[in-house]
Amino acid sequence: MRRFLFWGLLMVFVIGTGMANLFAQEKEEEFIIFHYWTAGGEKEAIDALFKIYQERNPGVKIVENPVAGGGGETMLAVLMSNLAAGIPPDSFQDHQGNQQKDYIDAGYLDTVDDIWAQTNFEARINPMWVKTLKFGGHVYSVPINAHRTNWLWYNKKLLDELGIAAPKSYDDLLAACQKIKEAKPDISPLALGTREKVWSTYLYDMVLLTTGGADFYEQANTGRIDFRNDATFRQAMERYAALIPYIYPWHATKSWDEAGALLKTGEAAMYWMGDWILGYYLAIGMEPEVDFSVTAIPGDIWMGHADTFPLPKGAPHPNNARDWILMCTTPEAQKAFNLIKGSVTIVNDVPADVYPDPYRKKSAQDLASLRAVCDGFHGGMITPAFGSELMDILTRFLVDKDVDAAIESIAEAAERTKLAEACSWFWE
Amino acid sequence: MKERNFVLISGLVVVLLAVVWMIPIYALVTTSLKTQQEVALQKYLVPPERPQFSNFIKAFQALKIGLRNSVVITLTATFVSVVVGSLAGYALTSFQFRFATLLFFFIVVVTFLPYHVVLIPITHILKFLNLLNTYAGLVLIYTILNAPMATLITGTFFMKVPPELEEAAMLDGCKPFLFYLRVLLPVSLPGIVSATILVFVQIYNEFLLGIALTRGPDVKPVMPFLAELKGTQIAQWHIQMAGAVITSIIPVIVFVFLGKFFISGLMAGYGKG
Amino acid sequence: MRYYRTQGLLFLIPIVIIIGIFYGMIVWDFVVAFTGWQGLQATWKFVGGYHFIRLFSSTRFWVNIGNNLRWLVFFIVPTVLVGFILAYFLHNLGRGEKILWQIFLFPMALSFIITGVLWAWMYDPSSGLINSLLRAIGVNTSQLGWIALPSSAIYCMIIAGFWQYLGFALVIYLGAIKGIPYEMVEAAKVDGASHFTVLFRVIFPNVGHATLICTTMLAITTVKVFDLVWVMTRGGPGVSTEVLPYLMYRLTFDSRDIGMGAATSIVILALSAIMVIPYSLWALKKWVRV
Repeated sequence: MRRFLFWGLLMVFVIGTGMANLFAQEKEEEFIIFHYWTAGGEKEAIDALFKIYQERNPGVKIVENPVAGGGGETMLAVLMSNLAAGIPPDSFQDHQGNQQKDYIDAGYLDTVDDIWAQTNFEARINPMWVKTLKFGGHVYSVPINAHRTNWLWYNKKLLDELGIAAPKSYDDLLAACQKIKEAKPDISPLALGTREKVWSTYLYDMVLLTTGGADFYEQANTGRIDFRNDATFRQAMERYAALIPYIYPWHATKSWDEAGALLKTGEAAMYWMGDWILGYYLAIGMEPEVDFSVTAIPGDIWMGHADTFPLPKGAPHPNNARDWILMCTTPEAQKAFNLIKGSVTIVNDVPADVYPDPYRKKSAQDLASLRAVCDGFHGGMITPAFGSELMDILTRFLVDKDVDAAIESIAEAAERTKLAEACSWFWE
Repeated sequence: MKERNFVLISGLVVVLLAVVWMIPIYALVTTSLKTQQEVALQKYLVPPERPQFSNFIKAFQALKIGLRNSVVITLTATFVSVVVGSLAGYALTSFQFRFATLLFFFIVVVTFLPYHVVLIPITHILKFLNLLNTYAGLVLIYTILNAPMATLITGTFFMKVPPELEEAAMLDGCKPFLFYLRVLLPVSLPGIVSATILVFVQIYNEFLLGIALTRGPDVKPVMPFLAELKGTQIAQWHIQMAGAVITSIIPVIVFVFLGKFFISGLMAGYGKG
Repeated sequence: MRYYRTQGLLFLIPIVIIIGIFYGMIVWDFVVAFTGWQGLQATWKFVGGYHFIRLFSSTRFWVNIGNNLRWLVFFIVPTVLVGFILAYFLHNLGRGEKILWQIFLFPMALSFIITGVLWAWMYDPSSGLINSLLRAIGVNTSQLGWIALPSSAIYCMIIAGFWQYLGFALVIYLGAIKGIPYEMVEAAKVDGASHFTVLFRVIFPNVGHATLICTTMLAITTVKVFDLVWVMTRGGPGVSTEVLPYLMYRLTFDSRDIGMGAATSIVILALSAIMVIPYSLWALKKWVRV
């Protein structure tokens, strides 16, 4: 018993000495940042940014707060508690559109208009980014990268063997699915992983985009259509339903990476996923243009999202934070980050031929020249509140295939979360 | 003869069940020894072609600061929670007083609160006390969250202690704290050990507060580090599973250490069959 | 005597302070539940019972309640029963007890981040454990989706919970059985009682406190079960495996509807209180020794 007490007292002593309080001292030589790139290539990418930052600001200590868990879901919880308690970091990883707007509405962000003006940033990026980063004439962040999400990855050997050309449209995709199913009943034509429900919304974006085109897509995702009676919307949902029989049946058990690896195990033939999966495919030893290839659907639109770094109001070290954001506008920083990250630069003054693989070359070229749209959930076209409901609806839809019920639920969710009202900023 | 059969059959049942219990752990260990390529094949039960011990080195490099922090935080917070909880459990079971039922009820109810919802006030409290990003702050919060549970468990075990013991002690002029320390704790050691184990795993495996209340790696517990190992847009299950094996070592040490006290309770447990 | 008692009651001070802080937070939560706080910034606008009405009128809420009840029944009873019998078996085993005990305890040493994933792998329809075993004995597994099917997913998750928490029940029962006086069991055995009789007639009545605490703690676990749901299915397919604490988390942090999240947590607390009232009245009568 006495031994217990001894250890206990020792412990109390240890905490006493461990009271080094970083907040009380407010050292200006720090830079505090939250992000969710925590391992492997993604971590190396952010480390490359830290390296450049360190060269610009030799005395500053970078205090990094990686927050793992659910593609940023945990980070939101952590950020929310920190922002509400009035202890913001100097910057954090965010997306654009409605994902960012919540922070602005809450008054948590400061403008960085001067940095944009000073670096002529607006002219260097696709107009779509300006549209989704400017709120009431002000900007609050700088994007660092662009991930394309209208990519269909496919097992090249298999499609070549069956004589299927790379699908270019929804109809091609459906025809390819039918052909694969007939020729190889054991293989699921389309892979999907909904253990994280959010991926069900990626297919939703795809059918909206391929059915009604980019303008319809933007209207639908900002709640400007009558979901219940819109014929195009119904058609889109029917086209979603038509794909379901071809989707890997146990999608609810797979995470996004496990679903993607079904192309390697030979259990699935095609996979609709953003370009971060390229890094994963390379890591698991798949050979580009031999084992897999990729095609954009539709080919004349670039869909995707950016990761951005906003400036919180009351950031403890605002000068360091502003220099970080300024640094992110430079082609050097953009290039260093994106080469490792597996995305492309948001600025179009980095030439497309810096990328070692053909896919990102194409993505960069397309981003510079084509009409671009944001994807629904991560791209912040829809509100997080509506998105959260949408995933529930779609994961049920994937099981029961009931178009009417899904349309009704989506219409209800859009009304309940006031989607059109919340997204009106997009049309101003 | 009959006794022998019983031991044999029960032994068989226990061992069989233990084997079933080990299967997910087997999947954990094989995955931790695979390459990322092998993991991608998703043959969870197939052993690795060549064991990759480097996974463990990589994981350990990333986890070591967290392991240190977790040892300090978890041991301290568990100790404080169990002391606070068992003192309260003692007072609740030994003395009748007004509002005892009410207090007990209040203690039990709070153990049902999912703490995620009060994340914002928790952050406010620590900011107010200026204890963010300190060991003391995390210990304080973990103690607050777990002391009610410790009260509940220890109190339940104390109620089995015969009241005559305390009456005798009282007549000998023993102070309550000495009775608690010298008689009550040793007599109900298995109960204390159960409470300690349960509180320990609760704190050790907690994940959200460890991130929300720290800045940088200096005091961050190990579970957030473990979660980071997989990555968000990359999937390093192999490293994460290796990390899981490493982080499980500390609780296992604690279980083995406490297990000794389990057997040597002062009160004569009934012997072996 | 009086002095002794006063001194003893001083031991309650720390827990009273802690409980005080807790109820401070609960009051905060309660206030939020009645305000229209949406988005990230607090808005203290009183909206009355709006959130509760919305909650009770949604089918999703009742699905959640049903799932919580399933957890209560199908999780607690087996865990307590198996934990008790296992503790007795282990205690009688003598050699090997310590190692076997550790095996059952080991799942508790793992974070839910890990156990959730491990069980998702066990249930994997194409290469997971269960379907592999079934295929080995010639069962056609093409329709057995386990956690991929809304009808079976929740039970699969409960089994994972059972795996993780059996050690918990075991620890408590082992602690209780080791506290039973030796003579009591010997006397019964001399009278020729079978093991079954000893187990359920002699030991079980004497470990009532352990059963009590096990049931309570596991009830707390089921009411708070969040981690496994979050990792294994995110409440899917659809909302078929969602439980109240998960709904609360989703509403608070995904939908950013803080008021609704707080209202849900108040409902959780209210339901717990209903469960706890009879228990605390009964327990305290038995509790007090002097």
